[in-house]
Amino acid sequence: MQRLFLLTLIIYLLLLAGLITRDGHVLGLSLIFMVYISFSILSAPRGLEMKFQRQMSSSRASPDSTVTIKTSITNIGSTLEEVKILENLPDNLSVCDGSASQILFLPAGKTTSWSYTIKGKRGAYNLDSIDVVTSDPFGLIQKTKSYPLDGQLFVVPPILRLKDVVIRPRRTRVYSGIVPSRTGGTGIDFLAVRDYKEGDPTHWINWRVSARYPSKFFSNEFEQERVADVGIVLDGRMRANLFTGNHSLFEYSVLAAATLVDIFLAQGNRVSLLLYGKSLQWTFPGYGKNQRERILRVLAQAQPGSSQVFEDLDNIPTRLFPAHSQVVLISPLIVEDVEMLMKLRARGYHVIIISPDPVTFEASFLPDQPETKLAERIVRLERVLMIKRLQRAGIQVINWDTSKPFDQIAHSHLGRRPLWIPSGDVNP
Amino acid sequence: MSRTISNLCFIVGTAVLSYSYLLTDYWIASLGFIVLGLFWFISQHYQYTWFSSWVLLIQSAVAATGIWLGFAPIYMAFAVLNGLLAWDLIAFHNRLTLIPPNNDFPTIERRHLFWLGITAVIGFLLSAVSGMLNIQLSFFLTLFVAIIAALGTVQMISWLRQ
Repeated sequence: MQRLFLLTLIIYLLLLAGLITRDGHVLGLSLIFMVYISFSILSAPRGLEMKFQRQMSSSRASPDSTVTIKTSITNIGSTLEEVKILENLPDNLSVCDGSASQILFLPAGKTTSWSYTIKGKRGAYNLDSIDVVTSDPFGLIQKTKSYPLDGQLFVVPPILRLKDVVIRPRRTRVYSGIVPSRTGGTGIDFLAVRDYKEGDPTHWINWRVSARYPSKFFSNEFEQERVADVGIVLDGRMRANLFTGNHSLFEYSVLAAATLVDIFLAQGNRVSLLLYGKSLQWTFPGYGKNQRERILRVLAQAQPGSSQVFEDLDNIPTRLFPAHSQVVLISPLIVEDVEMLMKLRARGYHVIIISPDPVTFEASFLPDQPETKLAERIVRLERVLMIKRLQRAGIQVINWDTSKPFDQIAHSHLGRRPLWIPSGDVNP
Repeated sequence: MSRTISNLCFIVGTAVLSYSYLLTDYWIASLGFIVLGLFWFISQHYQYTWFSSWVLLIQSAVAATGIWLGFAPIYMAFAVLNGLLAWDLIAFHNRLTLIPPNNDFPTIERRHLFWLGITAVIGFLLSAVSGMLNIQLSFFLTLFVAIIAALGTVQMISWLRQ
């Protein structure tokens, strides 16, 4: 419109100058601009009738992977000299190859297509519209229309591969799995010796014990291995995750949650997710790949938030988790959380806390000064005391220095321990 | 190609204006056009797109002044036409450079130059022919034309506002 305004202004000024000077040649100068504008008006697009199709190579991706989007456009109206196609890509998505926007010449009935590759940060993105701007050949008069399209992209958090994670909740489910159930039956790990029962295989007979009692046989009993209920609580409270200079630990927590969801479901367990932050977002317990996908999509959209109601962990709805099941809390932890976590343990839940270390994290952004060092020491002491209190209550706490990869930490703290290391919770 | 043509048009337009003013001893004005031309090239280099609009406005004003001073109207019209072409091609070039090139760009450029050429020829011819016409209108016919012009202006303004 500014260009059109300029030309109109020049025409009126020339006409005015022509009338003042009473010179036809000055008026004649304005004809050049009039012809230019007239042509623009006559050739301006009357309507925009188009059909769009979009194909995405995948509706989900990880932060490192790329997604190729192919868009095709068919002009079902009149010939368009200049058509600008503008894809409304969200800020966190970037184009790696090709171009999302195009300028095209579209004769009537022509179909043209183009493709481009994008990648982005964790999140759920709606690619649900495309803007079309068309103009006359000189670009003076423009017409804009937005076309709705189907398209949603989930960039799910990266998943680190863990070999195994050992959990021992008090109660397991009926299906066989790999979680020791503390009950005798068929299994691998030795549990106890009992009287021989008719039908026991002969290789179960414990000959050493039976030799002590000439009139009786004894059989080995093995620990049944079953699947368990695992509830993962992801702490998305702003006050627990956000630190100096808007640095957030939440991405680390999401990474840990995604990795644990993956391994627990791969082990056959029934897994649920509770996102505790601005509000409660509960993913109903389930098994298998569908549940994995469901949880990953929730994690893709997870954002830290603050709410007065969920300021503390006191409002965790424990009824969501079956009694005596496994609860994994992923949280940087604050001192006020200790009481609630001890109550959770007292109710019979087997609690594991994965705690990205906020002290080391925040200290890495602070200047290397004696005052900072002293403050860091004080805060670290408070944190160590808090962790000791939790451990004394029977809660397994894994203090994760986020400068180290999570799989390394998880392997050393949650993996199957060699036989020569006594059982019990591992200290941070 | 559009960039080269726009530069060429601008040089021709400025040269015609400068030469016309130089012939009639307005050498300061002539020098001013050359300096303006240098600024124009600098502004193009630094992508100051607004500058070309001001230059077009100045060129039109200078051409109208030239006609009033008695310079050849055909030269002035030619200078204004070249200024308009340069201004249009710069805007066109800027529109295209916002988006990475694709296979349609040569076609779009070719068609743009074609339509621009036709418009330039028609505009120039009409401008030249209008200078030769000398029509005496009666008072009522003049009044009628004035009313039509006013209505046309109102219609155009309402159309643009839509």
